[in-house]
Amino acid sequence: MPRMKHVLATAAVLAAGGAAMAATTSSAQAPVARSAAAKNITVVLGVTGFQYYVALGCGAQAEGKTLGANVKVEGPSAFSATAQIPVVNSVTASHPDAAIVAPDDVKALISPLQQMIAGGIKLVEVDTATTPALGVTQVTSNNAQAGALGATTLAKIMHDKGTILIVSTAAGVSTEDLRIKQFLAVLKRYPKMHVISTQYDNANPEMSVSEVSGVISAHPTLGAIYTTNLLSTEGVETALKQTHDAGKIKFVGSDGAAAQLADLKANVMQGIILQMPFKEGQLAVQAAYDSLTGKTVPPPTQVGVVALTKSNLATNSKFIYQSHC
Amino acid sequence: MTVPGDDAQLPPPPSVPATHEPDRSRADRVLVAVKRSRLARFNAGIGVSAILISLIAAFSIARPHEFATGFNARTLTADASSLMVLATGLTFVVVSAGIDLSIGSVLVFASVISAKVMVALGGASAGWSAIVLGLLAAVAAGMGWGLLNGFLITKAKIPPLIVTLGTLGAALGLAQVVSSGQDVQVVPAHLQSTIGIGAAFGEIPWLFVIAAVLAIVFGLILRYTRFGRYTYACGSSPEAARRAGVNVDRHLMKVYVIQAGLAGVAGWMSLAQFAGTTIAGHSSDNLNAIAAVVIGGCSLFGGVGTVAGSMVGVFIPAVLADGFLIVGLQAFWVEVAVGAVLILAVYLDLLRRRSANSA
Repeated sequence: MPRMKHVLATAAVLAAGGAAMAATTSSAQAPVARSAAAKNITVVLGVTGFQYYVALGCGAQAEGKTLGANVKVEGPSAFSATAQIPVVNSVTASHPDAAIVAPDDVKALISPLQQMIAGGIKLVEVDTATTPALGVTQVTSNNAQAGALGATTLAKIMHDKGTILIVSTAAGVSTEDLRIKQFLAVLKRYPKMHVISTQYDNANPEMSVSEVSGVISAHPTLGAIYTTNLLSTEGVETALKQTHDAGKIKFVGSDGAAAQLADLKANVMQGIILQMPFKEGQLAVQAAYDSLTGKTVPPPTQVGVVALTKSNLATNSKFIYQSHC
Repeated sequence: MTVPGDDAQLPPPPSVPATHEPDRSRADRVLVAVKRSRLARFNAGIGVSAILISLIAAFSIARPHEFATGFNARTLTADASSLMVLATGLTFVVVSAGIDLSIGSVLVFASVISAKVMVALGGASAGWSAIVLGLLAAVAAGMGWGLLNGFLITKAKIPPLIVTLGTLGAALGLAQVVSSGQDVQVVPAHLQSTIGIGAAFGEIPWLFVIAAVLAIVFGLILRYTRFGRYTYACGSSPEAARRAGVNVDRHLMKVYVIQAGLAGVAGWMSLAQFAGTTIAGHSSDNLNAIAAVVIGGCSLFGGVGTVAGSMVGVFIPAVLADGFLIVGLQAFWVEVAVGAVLILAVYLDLLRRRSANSA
């Protein structure tokens, strides 16, 4: 029957292709895998294509090159536990010597990561830690410091007075909630500054554009905007340009890549709070390598943040996140 | 009067080769066409099954110690269980020539309601009666949306694509209203430790057992019961079914309610698996489920499809993603590969239709 032949032919081609792929990739990998010296470390990012995580991956790979370890970078295509858990499970199945994971959910990732540890893989949590923390150590961002630095930077720019709009991703994202909490705590020192609204855009820049435009229309005397993450920052940049309020309404954003640096120079933004993902990646690989070579693993580390403003461009613009290694 | 597909009332087909014979009588030609189309349906199922088996074989040959392991099989099946349940329900809807874009949102809504119920009944220390009540709440919440979808489609005569596009947003929005936008991260400890990460006989994840049982039960219903036959009839030709005495509106309503109830079960299962709701994590469930049923042999025009095929369709993208990562190919190629398999499956369906119509 013609259709049956057609179908069987397709299946045969696929099987042949699979065997060919098997032959080429396994032979390419074999010498590396068999070598006792080269450690295999796999990094699982929070989400692929996001500059913060790209920088983290680049830092990890740079450190891997220095130490002579094979560092592979993987990640889900969406920032959610449902997308990340199959990736974590596949990494566990592929048996690297160590894994560095930036968990998307501090609770849901606990059981897959415990399985990873039970499989004999050394785990280093990076960016955020699960609750409770797992692995040989954790290298995380100091989100409280990020929030505090956001408040003090904004105060300097606003001369200690004015109304503020906060834009965040979603209530319940632990990293951003920590930044907001510390931002508000430090803001208490400036009695003439207060927050009139907190908007959530669900990681959707279009949504933050419409929310910000709405708040500006409702509060024409709005003094400044503070964002807790890069996607919200992108939305606010667009909103300010659309309403021609860039420069008039002060803007301090968290996280920044090349586009934000350009907007800082163009006075659309007056301050960017930058984490150090490249350094986090380096420290995480270093810690993983130490655990594999029997050295003492450093205790949980919190990597600091810096504020980038027009006045310190010379020293701090190197901390801008890269889009590729 | 015979209902299309009600082959119990036809005489047994003649045992002649299904080649074109111009002197055949009309009745014989019809019988041969029926046999050929049933065989063709069977062949389409064989086609994608062969693809899945070849993929598993290829990855197992490439990485025997990483891919072909018990651990990998357990995690692959557990991770695919939610989509299996969604695809089982969606098979019924697609076979009836409908579509449902709201399944991910209904899953989220059901999981939020179920989580709230279980928190109210004891939270982390709740017992099995609370867990069962949580399951019933999830199914009821799902069925509520199914009733709404079914009503708007059958009585208000709004196309399924539009209706479910609306309920896609409404269900997710309502879920966020109920949960104030925050994931509920307290589930009964028993639920997570037994169903979520536990395994039957220590080997087969309970999530997969539940999904497989549902797939088998509903697959048998679709294939061997009158309810299943009516579903095929409504999908092939609602007008013919109506004239044959099938209450098409009531039947379609039942189909959407069943499908949404299964989405509710998937919501409860996701609570077990992730130890909480994952409100932001199901936005592409609808497209993944549609891809699964189409790859598995369902025709989006209705009247064709099996639950078994849909299960194969669930596992092809999952095996591709898992295998690509283990082998070391870039993950982005998975999307390309899934797209290619999808187009291939639709093309095979088109060939089948053409040959069935040329009888």
